[in-house]
Formats: sequence, C-alpha cells, structure tokens
Amino acid sequence: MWMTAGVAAQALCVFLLRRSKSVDSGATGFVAGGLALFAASLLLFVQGLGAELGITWALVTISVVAYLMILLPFFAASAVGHSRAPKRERLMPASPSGSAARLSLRLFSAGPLYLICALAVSLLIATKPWAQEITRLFTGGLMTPLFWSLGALHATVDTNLWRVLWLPIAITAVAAAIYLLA
Amino acid sequence: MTTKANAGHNPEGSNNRFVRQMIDSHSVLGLSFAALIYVVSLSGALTLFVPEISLWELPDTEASYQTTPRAVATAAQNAQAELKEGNEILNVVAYGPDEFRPYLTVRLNQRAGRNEPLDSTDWIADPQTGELLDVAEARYAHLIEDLHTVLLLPNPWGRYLVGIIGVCMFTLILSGIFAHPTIVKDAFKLRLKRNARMAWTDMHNRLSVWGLPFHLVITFTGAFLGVAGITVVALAMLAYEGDQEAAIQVIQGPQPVLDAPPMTSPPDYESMLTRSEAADRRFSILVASNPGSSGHTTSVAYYEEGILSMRTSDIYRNSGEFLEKFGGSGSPAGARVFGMVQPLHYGTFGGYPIKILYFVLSLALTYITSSGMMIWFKRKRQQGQPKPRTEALWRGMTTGLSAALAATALITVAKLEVPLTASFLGIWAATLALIAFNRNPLRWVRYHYVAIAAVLAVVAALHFPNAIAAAAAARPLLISIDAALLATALAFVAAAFRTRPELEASDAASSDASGAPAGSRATGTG
Repeated sequence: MWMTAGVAAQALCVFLLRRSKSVDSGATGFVAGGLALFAASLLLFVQGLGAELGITWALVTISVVAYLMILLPFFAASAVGHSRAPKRERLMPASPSGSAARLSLRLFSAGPLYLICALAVSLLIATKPWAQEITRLFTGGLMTPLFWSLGALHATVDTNLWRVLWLPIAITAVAAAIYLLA
Repeated sequence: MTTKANAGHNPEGSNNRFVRQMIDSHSVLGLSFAALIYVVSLSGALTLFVPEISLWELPDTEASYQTTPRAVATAAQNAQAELKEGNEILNVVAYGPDEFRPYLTVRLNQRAGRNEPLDSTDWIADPQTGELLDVAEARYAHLIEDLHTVLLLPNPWGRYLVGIIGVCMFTLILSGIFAHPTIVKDAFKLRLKRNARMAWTDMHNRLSVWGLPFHLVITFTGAFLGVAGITVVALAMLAYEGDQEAAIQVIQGPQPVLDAPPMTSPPDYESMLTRSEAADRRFSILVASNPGSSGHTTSVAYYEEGILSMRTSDIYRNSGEFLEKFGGSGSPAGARVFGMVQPLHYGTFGGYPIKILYFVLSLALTYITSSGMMIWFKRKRQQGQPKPRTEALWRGMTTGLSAALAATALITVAKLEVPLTASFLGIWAATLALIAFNRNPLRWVRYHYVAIAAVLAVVAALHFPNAIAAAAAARPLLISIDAALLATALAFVAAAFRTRPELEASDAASSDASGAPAGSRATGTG
C-alpha cells in the first residue's frame, strides 16, 4: 500500500520533471512539484519499510519507473539514428590521452601504483586505533575500492604525466611513514 | 588532430578541457575493459537467480519452505560424517529454505592438509528429517556464478580480476558524471531520429543517469567483494604475521580457543538452533567451524526484518556455550555495513520485486556497456576511421556469450554428459569466430538471434514436464523460469526483426560499393 503509493508518486515526479523541459513558462513550478513528489515518495517508502530499507527501495524503483517512462520510444523505434552526420560533427576533437607510451604509463599508475596507494591508506585506517577493531577493518576495506577508483580517475585525467606517476608514490610513502611513526 | 568544432550541447564534442579529459578517461577505461564489463554485467543479471536456476536443474529436489531445528541439525551431522579419512574438516554449513530457494542444503568443506586445495561437497537434505538425499550438483548454476564471480579463472586471480573490473566500472561512473556537465538539463533527452552516434549517446546517457544509484551501489559493492581478498592479504601481512585466516576470523566474531579439547561427538546443533528460535526470526544459515574442536564456534544466522544487513548471528562455542549476538541491529557500525554488502549487491533485501528490478537494472548496465561501444564505432565512422573488424569482434563476443549460455542450458536440460565449462567456452569461441570473420557480421548476428530463440524455446519445452511434476513448493518457481525462457526467446526474435532495416541498409551499401567489405558499412543495433 505505502509502496504502491510511493511508486505512483515517483511516476508523477518523473512526469512533472519531464514536463518542465517542454514548457515555455512555469518550468520552475513543475520542477518544484516533481522534487516535492520525490520527497513524498521517499517518505511513503520509509513509512512502509523503515528508513534503511525504504530509502534503498525508493532509489531502486525510481530508476525503473524513469526507464519505463523515458525509454519507451527506444523500444518502439524500428531503428536507432541514421548514418548521415553533419559536417561539423565529423570534425571531432582528437583524444588528449597521447601516445601509446604515455597511455601505458597512465594505466600503470591507474592500476598497480594506485592499488598500492589505496591499500596503504586503507590499511592505515584499518590498523590505527581510532574506533572499534571491526569498524576500523570494515571501513578500511570499504575505502580500498573507493581510493583506488579516485586514483584511477586521476591517472587517466591529469595531463601532467609526472604528477600522475609521483602522486601515488608520495601518498604511499606518507601513509607508510604515518604507520611506522604514529 | 585537434579542432575547435562547435558541438553545441553535446558533451562529447565539448571544448571544455576538463570535460574532454573526463571523456578521454571514460573512453580509455571503457574501451580497455568493455568486453569484461559486458560479461560480468550480463552474468551478474543471471547470478541473481542462481538459487532458482539450481532448483531448475534439479527439479526432483525435495522442496519445502519449512524445516525444523532437528532436520537442520541432523543434516549438518550427516554431512560431518562424510568427512574423508585423513582429511581435516574446515566447516559444515547448512542453508535453510527461504523464499528464493525452497530447499535445505548442507555443505562440507574439507582438505587433505593446510596448504591443500579445498574439497567442497553440497547435498540436498530432506527438510523434515535431515537425511542427505543427493549430491547437489547444479553445473549450469555454478557456471553462471563462476562466470560472474571469477570469470571462470582459477581462484584467487579470477576474483581479483572481477574486483579490478568493479573498480574500473566505479571509475567509469565517476568520469561519466564529470563528463556530463549538462546532466540535469539533458535528463530527458532522447533523440532517436538524429544521427546514430547522437542517438546512441542519448540512449547511453539516459540509461546511465536514471540508473545511477543502482550503478554506484552495484559497482562499489562488487569492487569491495572482489578487492577484499587483496585487502585481506595486505592486512594479514601487516598486522597478522601473514596469517590470512587469522585476519578473516577477526571479522567473524569471537576467536577460537586453540588448545581446547576435541569434541567426542558432533556439536549439539539442535539445542543451539532451538535456543536461537523466536517468533520474529527466520533461520538462514548454520556455520560450524571445525566442529571436531570444542574451542571453535558455531554461528546460527537468522533473518532480521526491517534492516538491510539482514543476517544476524548467534554465536556458540562448539561445546554448546552461548557467546554473543553478532551483526544486525545494535551491532557496531562496521558489522552493520559489512552485513549490507551482500544484500545490496545481490538484491536479496526485498523479495522478488527487488530481485526483478535488480535484473532489469543489471540488463540496463549491460546495455550501457554495449551502447558505449556503439557510440565509439559510430564516432570512428563519422571521423572517417571505421573499425569494422573491431565492431565485428564485439558483435561476435556479445552474441556468442548469449549463444553459449543458451546452448549450455540445452546441454543441461538434455542431461548430456559433456564438460559444461569447456562446451560453454567452445561454443562462445566458435560463435565469435563465425560472426567476426564473416563478410557480413550483422547478417550472422541475426541468424544467431533466431537460433538462440529456437534453442531457448526447446529448452523451455523440454523442461516443462519436469516443472509440472516437481514438488508443490518448487512448481511455481520452475514454471516461472520456463516462462521466462520463452519470453527471452521472443525477445531474441524481436531483436532479429529489429536488425532487418539496418541489414537492408548494409546490403544496399555493399551493392553500391562492390569490392568493399559489407561489414564496414554495417550500422549498429547494440
């Protein structure tokens, strides 16, 4: 009952937000209404399932509700796009990742270097006595993929190749120093 | 070549340096790992239903949603009695029935020595008496699970690789968000009648943006589950003198008493199970660590309603003494968070509604990978650098995976005694080669879609009598799976029809320019 109402509120929320994109005036009202309905849907789910499960359910259901409402034309279409391209779109910017050697160094940093770096910081969190042992261990464990992802993002985005290489080594060294000294 | 092409609101052609770097990062990681991401995503969607697929493979299973403490205890003791002479016992695990698996199973983990490989056997047990019935050998379910969790590679390397893919996917999501400065403005944009690259970009972005909470959670928890092994190794080296088992035990509750006397009989599981029973509790798993030692522990896990970290354990010394409640409400934050990882990753926290939504979102994740590749192929074609061979390989890989899964399902239901994993890999490779090295890959993709649909329909038809004859508790599940197979067959037929206009365009282009390979003009269906 609560959940059905929550899903209905989400459907209306997506409808209003979508409508806000197609009106010439009064878009703010549609956006505000849509956001209010999303908040209401969260409340309805929390009311029915409790905070932990309710919020999780709401975030899962809104994705599928939005898919159903937005992507229907894709399933009905006989073909996706055409093969003609305007001239300006044929002039795409070249990718800035550079030569194969530079790319290899970036991937070396994104892979092994930032893995070691992420492990160093995570183990620092896991072993230093700032909370109960089990909380420290799990926090450290959860931080490993997060730090590694952020590092991989840095390694593949930063145009300064030297920084891409020395930064993970420096962070690892600092983490090791803190572990040994603190 | 760097140009100042004005691409309007299209982030892919953005002049913003930060955005371009993010797109480049997205392309580099996406192209490097696309095939593995596709395999992990599609197999992940199917892995959600591994307990049901196991039952589908073993339709004669004694199915029931109910069991008793005595039956669970007897099953665990019977499994313990199957220990091979000279082997050491690691643990006995009894899995109670739940809404996804209406049957009782028990597993014995043993090994010949400390550094010897694990020897693991599962039995289906009678849910009323605990008698061991059959060895539970669900080969197809294991194939799907192993494809998702270890990519059919040896442990621990496969799990590490899947962890790396999880990290890569999480990074791709971050770069995808940063690469899309007009994420809110474009939230509903779907220009299917514009040029193909733009149409696929819109499709890719809409699927990504609206599924964002799920994608963040599934990739992060997947990365954690995969990378956890590396973290434990590092932690053990740093803080536990290299002993990984000691490092793991810290997060599993009370430590074993190492010099405790041996047990003269199996632990009294029934008393433990009975003591842990309550009106608002539902039994889930019993894990008896080294049941031959009185100093080790037995955990009785049960479902706790209303929280994400669903399993709460009562921990007993094998000698029978109650030690503590571990996990669930009121436990330390670390234990709560740890308890949430599996339910969040496998969608087990909300019954079948959540499982089905997870399935849809997992398929969307698979399609996001596929559409990402389509964007790249279209872009390369627009830039005058078409990649027909790579595109054909991609089509061969994706279609081959579906063909191999369908064919091994047929092998399973027909009870053919052939090595399943080898057959799976062989069919996948053969399909890939057939499509990738053909003059018109799209035409062969279409043939394969029709063939896959036919195989799936045959599988459903062959299995249906088993579903009808199954125990009452299993019947609705099995009939649903057969119906789902038929629906998938119809979806493949529809996909085959959908390729028709593009195939005709491809053929027309081929006849206009004789001598050029047809595949170079094939347009995408994803």
